[in-house]
Amino acid sequence: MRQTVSADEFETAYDTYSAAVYRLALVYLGQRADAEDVTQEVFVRLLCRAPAFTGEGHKKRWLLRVTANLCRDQLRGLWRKQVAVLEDTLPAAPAEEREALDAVMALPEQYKLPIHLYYYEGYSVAEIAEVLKLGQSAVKMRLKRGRELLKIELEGSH
Amino acid sequence: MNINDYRQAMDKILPDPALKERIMNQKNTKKKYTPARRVLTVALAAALSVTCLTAVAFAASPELRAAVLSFFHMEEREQVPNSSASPNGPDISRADIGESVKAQYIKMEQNTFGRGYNYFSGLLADLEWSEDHRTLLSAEFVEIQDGQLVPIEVEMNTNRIDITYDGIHYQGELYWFVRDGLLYVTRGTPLGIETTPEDEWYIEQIPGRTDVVLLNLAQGRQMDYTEYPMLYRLDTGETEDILAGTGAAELERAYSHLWSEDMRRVLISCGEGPDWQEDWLCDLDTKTLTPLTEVTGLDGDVTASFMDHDTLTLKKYFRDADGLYQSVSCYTFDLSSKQLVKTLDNVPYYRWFDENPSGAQLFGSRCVLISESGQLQIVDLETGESTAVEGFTFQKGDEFSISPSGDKLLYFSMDSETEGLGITQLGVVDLEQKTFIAFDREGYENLEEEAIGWEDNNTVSINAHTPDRETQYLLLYQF
Repeated sequence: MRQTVSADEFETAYDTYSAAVYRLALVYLGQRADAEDVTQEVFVRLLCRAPAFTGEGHKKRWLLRVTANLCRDQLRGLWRKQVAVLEDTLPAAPAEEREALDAVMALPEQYKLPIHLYYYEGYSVAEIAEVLKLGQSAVKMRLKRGRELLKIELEGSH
Repeated sequence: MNINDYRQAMDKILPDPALKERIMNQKNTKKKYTPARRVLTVALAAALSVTCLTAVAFAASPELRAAVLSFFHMEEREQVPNSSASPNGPDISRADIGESVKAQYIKMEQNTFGRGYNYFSGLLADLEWSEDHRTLLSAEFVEIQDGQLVPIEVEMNTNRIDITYDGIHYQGELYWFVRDGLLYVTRGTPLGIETTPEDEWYIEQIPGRTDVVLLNLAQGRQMDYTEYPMLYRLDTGETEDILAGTGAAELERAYSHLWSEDMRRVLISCGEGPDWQEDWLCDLDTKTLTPLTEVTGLDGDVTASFMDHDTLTLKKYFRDADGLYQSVSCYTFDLSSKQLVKTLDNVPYYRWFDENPSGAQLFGSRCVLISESGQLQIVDLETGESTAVEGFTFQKGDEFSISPSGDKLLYFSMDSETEGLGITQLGVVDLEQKTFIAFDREGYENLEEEAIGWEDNNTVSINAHTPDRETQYLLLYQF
């Protein structure tokens, strides 16, 4: 097996980015076990076949892009058979946090990822376009439609 | 409630600390990279080259250029229903869409936990499950007869699964009956509840058999998933180690078993992933287990399936520098004569999520080739015969799905702006009759469509629900 990152680099990358990878997978898939499986897969890929990164930002965007691709493939395998059921992901949070989380996660797939990446990860439209491999106009359209569908207050919050 | 609540909620979400340890342990044991499996088998679609597919396909079969199939876009449109269900139970209505398509719409109250209707080959089953969803409490059935829903009685059998394999004591209940020569079998699924290792058994029906099923005994998830099949006799509850004496039980990390129609041969995939996968051909009559590369002489990134008992379909994938599928070649291999025949030569592989996807979509022994301009060719991977589709242009959001017997393709187009699938157009390609008809749908946006597929070789179904989630629909189409 060819390792493209050292053990220390791998551990540092995991400590730094695993939460972002896991959260994105959870937003996408709605199930803890599936999100963990994807997280595991993403970091194994980092270990085995990561490209040369130009910086930490590049590394994070690569990890998130692989996450989005794996989630998409996973849902594609499932969608004809069953609809992913949103699990109880946050049992101990205040009600308004739970409702906000549910509101974003209930959005259709094409909208919730741009919304999450924009409002939580703080990415620009151009960066989201890179992560999701979409045109910038498509990202803008999805953000606009996602905001319209989202029943929570967004103004002045970013 | 505002977006800061979302951020604070997200801040609290972290992966299980054990996950890191799991990955580190995997790294430290120096195991080869093993990809996700059970649900990630579709992973790694490919970047496509700029080759013109139409030219490639015609070049592959120049003598067959005349084979043409015309697309017929029906003038008649479907009016998709969306009224509420009656509390008195499911009801059914019918509609003719032109002269070619007959639709039946079944609506019922939405599932509640532990209860809900399922559809099995012409029967609607109202199954009530225990709170843990493992035990069937009651079952009522209605049959669709000439557009009517007629209650029927069935003699439901209950079998107790109780078998120990590789240190795991698999347990649970299996429910089945036979009606009109068809086997109906189900089991409780602990939905939304953490499953235990004892729950990880799966029933696989054997085409044409009503007396036995395959009982797949599984372990692990994703990268750790393995399974071993047993033949299970429904009347006695006895299991038979169908692979006994072949050496298959000693294979490490076997995760997939593909059976020939007569169940005398099986292709076994073992767990080293796309880059390090090992496939074996197991022959139950000769009790032999042979690496597939040795059988076919074809190495590299190859997948195999049975075309018939004596013939394999082989697909060889080529990857780009990022490890993604870039192109594919297809072959047939005759197990008796050992003859290997190439039927598709290194064409770009279809990547469905590209902005303007094109390339080869593979469906068993058929391949749909989509050119960059959206023109279609359908290739029979057994003969190499290529059929051009006239009058149709593929667009992003279009999908195909092969029928159970492999002689028809379901076609549908989706509206990306709707909540559900949003199926705007529905049709069927009949590869034997050389027809392709499709109709437009109106009012689809009033339902949230959640699944589409073949119910049997003649029936396409769509599962949907109303936006208030009070009513669920089963839409059935016969072309």
